[in-house]
Amino acid sequence: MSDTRPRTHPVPRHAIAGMSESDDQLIGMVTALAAQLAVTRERLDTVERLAEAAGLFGPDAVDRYVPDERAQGARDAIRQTLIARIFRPIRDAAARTARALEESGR
Amino acid sequence: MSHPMLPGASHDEMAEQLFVRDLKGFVSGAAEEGQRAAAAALDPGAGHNARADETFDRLHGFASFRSWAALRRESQELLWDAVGASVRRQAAELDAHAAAAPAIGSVAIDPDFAVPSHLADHDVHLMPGGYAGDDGGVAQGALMDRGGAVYMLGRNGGLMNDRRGHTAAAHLLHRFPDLAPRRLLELGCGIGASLVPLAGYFPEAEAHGIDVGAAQLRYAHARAAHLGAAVHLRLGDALAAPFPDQSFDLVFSCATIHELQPGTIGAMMAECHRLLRPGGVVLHLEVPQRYAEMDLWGQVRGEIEARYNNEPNWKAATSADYAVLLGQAGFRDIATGYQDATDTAARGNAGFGPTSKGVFRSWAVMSAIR
Repeated sequence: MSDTRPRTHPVPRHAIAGMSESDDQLIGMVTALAAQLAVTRERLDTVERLAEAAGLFGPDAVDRYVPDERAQGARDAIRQTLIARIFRPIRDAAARTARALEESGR
Repeated sequence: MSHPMLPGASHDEMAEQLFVRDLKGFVSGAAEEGQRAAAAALDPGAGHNARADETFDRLHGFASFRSWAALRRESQELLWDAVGASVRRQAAELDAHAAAAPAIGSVAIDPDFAVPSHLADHDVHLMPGGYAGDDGGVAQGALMDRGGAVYMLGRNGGLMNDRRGHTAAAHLLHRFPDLAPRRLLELGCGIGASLVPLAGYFPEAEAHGIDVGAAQLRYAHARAAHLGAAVHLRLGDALAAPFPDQSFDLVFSCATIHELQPGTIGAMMAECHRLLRPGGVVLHLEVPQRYAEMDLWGQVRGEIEARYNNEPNWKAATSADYAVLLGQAGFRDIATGYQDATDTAARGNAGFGPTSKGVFRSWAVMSAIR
């Protein structure tokens, strides 16, 4: 009998000729990230519309919202943390390079 | 029309599936135009003996093509990932729906069936696990059904995905208005999206279907039963169907030929001849493109599909001379042409002719009498 166990990845999966495996993986991750962004954006839209239907607030109220100083500070922290965490590999790579250069005595 | 076997989608799952649909629209729409133009500029000329292959190779020299090809494949992998996660969430529920299906029709799973080698390790359309993937329940069939509907972008009858079955029936009712099969068989029935509607036009017939995946067939049987259709399904190879000679009055296939092992279309025609009683009718429905009539980009696209979307027999299926192949298999009264896609078949000429109106608007049809 053939092996018919389910898989989570397709076979075969030919390399795109001339493209590095890591570039291919990166495009995969960006695609998945874009999908998650679309899902989140759509969910937010649902929240705004449900809130409006419930007599609370709608998309227009969100557009008109201006954060006070405390709220703005909290958001700045959220945004900067997000940047630092997402782009951590760039910082880490530079740190590794610097350390390697230092250890080699250059 | 709906049925409880089709996996649902939560708010977020639906958003993700719609994202896949629209990403595919972008990749094969606005983002494809530049690729077509690049291919034209890289054309080695009509006199080149492997023009499309050469253009396909040359395109790989450009990062713009490689990135697009990678994104095109990612859109397909995301489709299966998104639908797969949704199906896994509902797997127990779907198995329960299958168990609760009306007790009509049958499904026979032969544990010794060997999946044809080109499908055993070749996940067509990149669907993980392929047609033969089997978790012991109906999940792989649900993946195929829901994924197929998203893949077709709603152009094959929406979530029922059944327009090909109606279109095949429209051709039969046009060419053979008195056809009244007692037994009919579909080769490569998958989840029954074509078998159920076609069988509906011949309520006196005993309807059979074969395919290579146990989970596909369990799902197909439950799906059909919930729709009120009694269909008899079993594992089988379109080149060696598990039935005696001359056991059917009608044998048909819908978009199965382009998934055959390359080089076996003639053998499939011969198998249909073996299965039909004298006077019986064969019908094959396929994609409407003809390789020789495609422009350069169309042919390059075929190379992309074959290489990066695991479409094994696309070029052969769109190049075959079906009138000759049917004749060689011993059939008579052969007709080939195009049938207008429809959701309602009726007697009389409802759109059969020599010209394709385009992909999803027409389907290629080839029919004959044994």
